[in-house]
Amino acid sequence: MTKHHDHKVDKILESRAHPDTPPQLVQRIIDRTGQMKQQNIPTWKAFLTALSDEFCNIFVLPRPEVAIAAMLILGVATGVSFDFVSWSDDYLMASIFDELNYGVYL
Amino acid sequence: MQICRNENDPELIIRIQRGDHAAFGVLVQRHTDRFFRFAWRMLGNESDAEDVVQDAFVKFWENPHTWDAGKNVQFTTWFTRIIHNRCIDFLRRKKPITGTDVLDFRATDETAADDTIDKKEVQIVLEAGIHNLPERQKSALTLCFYEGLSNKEAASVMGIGVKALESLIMRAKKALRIHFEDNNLIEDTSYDKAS
Repeated sequence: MTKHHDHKVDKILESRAHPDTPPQLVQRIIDRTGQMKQQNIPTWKAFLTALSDEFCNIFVLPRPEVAIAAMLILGVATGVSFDFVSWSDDYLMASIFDELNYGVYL
Repeated sequence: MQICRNENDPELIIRIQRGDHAAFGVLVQRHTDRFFRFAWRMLGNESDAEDVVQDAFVKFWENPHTWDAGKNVQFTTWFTRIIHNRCIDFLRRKKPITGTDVLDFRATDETAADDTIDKKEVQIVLEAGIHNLPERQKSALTLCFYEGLSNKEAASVMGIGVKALESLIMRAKKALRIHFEDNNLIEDTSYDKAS
């Protein structure tokens, strides 16, 4: 507060009444914004955020950043596994064909 | 998404910035009373105060990234500045107040002519006095006296220096004293000196 006190004036100012907050105001703000989309948030980012939050909840991870890192690691690991399987499949098939060709030649 | 009502404002705002509407609801519930009171004290009208607070929150929901945690400004101080600026815009857009908008207590005071001024009458005189203060004086008085902001915070909200703020409050109180004296709420010291 300022140091300029005028006790008589201050006393009257302190008696100033104010109305209660209208009870419907909070709900009206929440309802109105509920249907509105935010700006500045790309859809992909919102999707990623929602996904990371869910990931956090499921795996009890502390922060969304950890969830995103975990998802990336899982994703890369899954991709590598698929690649390996597909590469090994290709290798297997090639070997089988080689065998068959060899058989044909024979 | 889980929302903890004990989360502080910056934590809630980070959630809001990610599009979490439930977190926004918690923030609105937490602060609407305070901002409504402030807007009402600036505008002196319930429905205008409701509009200002609602619009400010809607804009914040649309652009939550306008609040920057890195600037180390409390959300309440930052949002008070937004409400304050909106109130000032509102007051400037609104037609000037005519004499009939504010009850003239002086006229009834002559018929009453006694010391038994009840609370309602005090409120009428008080509201009229505050209402008629220049815009900046009203802002300074409301922020410091009613919102309990420190001089530094209030000066920051108004975008002025602390000395200028103190000067505004001093002038506001001086003007109010004259108004209260004219309406017999307090003794007229100038009259005492003259006699």
